[in-house]
Amino acid sequence: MAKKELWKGNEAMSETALRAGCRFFSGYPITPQTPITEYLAWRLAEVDGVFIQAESELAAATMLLGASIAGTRALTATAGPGLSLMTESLSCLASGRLPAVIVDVQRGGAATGNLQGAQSDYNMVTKTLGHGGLKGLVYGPSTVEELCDIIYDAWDKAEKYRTPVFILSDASLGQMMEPVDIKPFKQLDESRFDLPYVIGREQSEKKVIQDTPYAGPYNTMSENLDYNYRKYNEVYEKWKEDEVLYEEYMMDDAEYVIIGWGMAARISKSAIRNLRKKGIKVGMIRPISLFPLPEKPLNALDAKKIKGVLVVEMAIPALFYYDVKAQIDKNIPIKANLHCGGYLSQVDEIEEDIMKMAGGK
Amino acid sequence: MEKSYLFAGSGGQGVQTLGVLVAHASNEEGHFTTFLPAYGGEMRGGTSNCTIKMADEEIGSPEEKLYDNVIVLNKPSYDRFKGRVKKGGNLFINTALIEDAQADGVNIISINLSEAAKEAGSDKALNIVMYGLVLAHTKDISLENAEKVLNDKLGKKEQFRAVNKKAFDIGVNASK
Repeated sequence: MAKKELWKGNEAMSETALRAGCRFFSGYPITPQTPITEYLAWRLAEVDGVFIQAESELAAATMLLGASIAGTRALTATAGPGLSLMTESLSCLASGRLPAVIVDVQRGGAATGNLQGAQSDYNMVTKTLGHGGLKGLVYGPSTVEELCDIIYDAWDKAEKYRTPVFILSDASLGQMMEPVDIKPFKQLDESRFDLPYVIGREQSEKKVIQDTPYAGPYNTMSENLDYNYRKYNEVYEKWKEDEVLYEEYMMDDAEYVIIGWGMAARISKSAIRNLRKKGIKVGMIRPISLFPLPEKPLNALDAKKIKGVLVVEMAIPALFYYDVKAQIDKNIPIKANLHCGGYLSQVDEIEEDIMKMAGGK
Repeated sequence: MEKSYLFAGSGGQGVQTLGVLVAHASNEEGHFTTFLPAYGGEMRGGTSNCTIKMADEEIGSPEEKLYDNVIVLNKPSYDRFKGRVKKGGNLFINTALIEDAQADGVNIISINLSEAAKEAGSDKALNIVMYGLVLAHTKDISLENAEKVLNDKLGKKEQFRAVNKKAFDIGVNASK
């Protein structure tokens, strides 16, 4: 096996995006997202792509919308308050079911917050993209390699389902260096410009992109929205069958189960290894797709076998915890281990929580 | 095998470069590797630091409460991180800026980086001296791979290559 190269998360992800066919990036620099903007500023030029440093995140996300309709594999990335500014266009992407990829390199806290990693944007993107209650696929990778794997296939998924795809990275993952295999360039053919949502190259050309009672997804007649969103919901429901991604770690004989995603989950792996050395049978279910949430493995946890569940999450108040709790057998005790505001999950605290569940000191 | 390193100094001493070199050397050695920089406000003066882990299996947490090796290049970093060494672990200090270092139950490895760097031919090479010293002492990475990475990453200009090689050797010899 060829030796992997050591890459920073933000840069490895940007290079992989390019190789997945991304040829348009609009963004506004904000720590810890800035290295993505910096990297793509010079790198997109080398592959005849378009890079725009927008005047604001609001504009960046609106440009993303335009690039998507023009048939380009388009990307934006932001963090913290930038995400708030983008929500108007996120809603519009979801409403038109337009394919595009959005990366949130989460930072700590609300308002300006701080520059360290967190998981507090979970609800904001898994529940609905902006106003209006519509959805996109949402992923929460936990290593640099996984971050690359996800963005490499992100546009394939986006175009298959005609949906925005959201990746929740965070400051730690974005800034961290890890060994990674950078994937080969995908070959895209011209047929993508015939995709139904892509505007015609001829100005006079009009396309019917949805079989709505009244023309198009943005028509505001109540019957139209009701009809349309029912169809959308069928797509979201289908994701629960076909697009669920998760990892099971040391679950075969597990009596205690840690459930976490992203950085919190990988930090928990260290705790699991330490606990296993002490003879505590602990495993982990790690959702990789956050919407759709992997409900089946959570539903399948058997109260006769599982003595406790610990949700590890970098958000206070808890967000992901309640989604997990809703899926777990009510007879299994469930607790949360929480930090926020750039305070990463702590291995020793996770161990302590499991030990307490196991009746130890 | 899982080993952890914490590097700290003041902005401008080359702490991040030092950490990045060790991370690349670890990858060259074939270890699973993580490098996590501390960033943000800390880059504007004060201490700059980064953590590295190397292991023979997938790495969970990129951070630790206590580290196998803590490397401090200035006094504020020493004050902040001297308590973060595991029992029996190594505390590498720069005696040019840290006097009277004391820590119970850990090995203190001292070097005057200012003098060593001057001897190598450039004040800026102090981080490369420490790179040689740390890797020669811990033996987590072969010196061949350490030197290869030094050349790959910082050896593009002949004059720097010579200084770096000398600084590296001074560090390696200081570990003996």
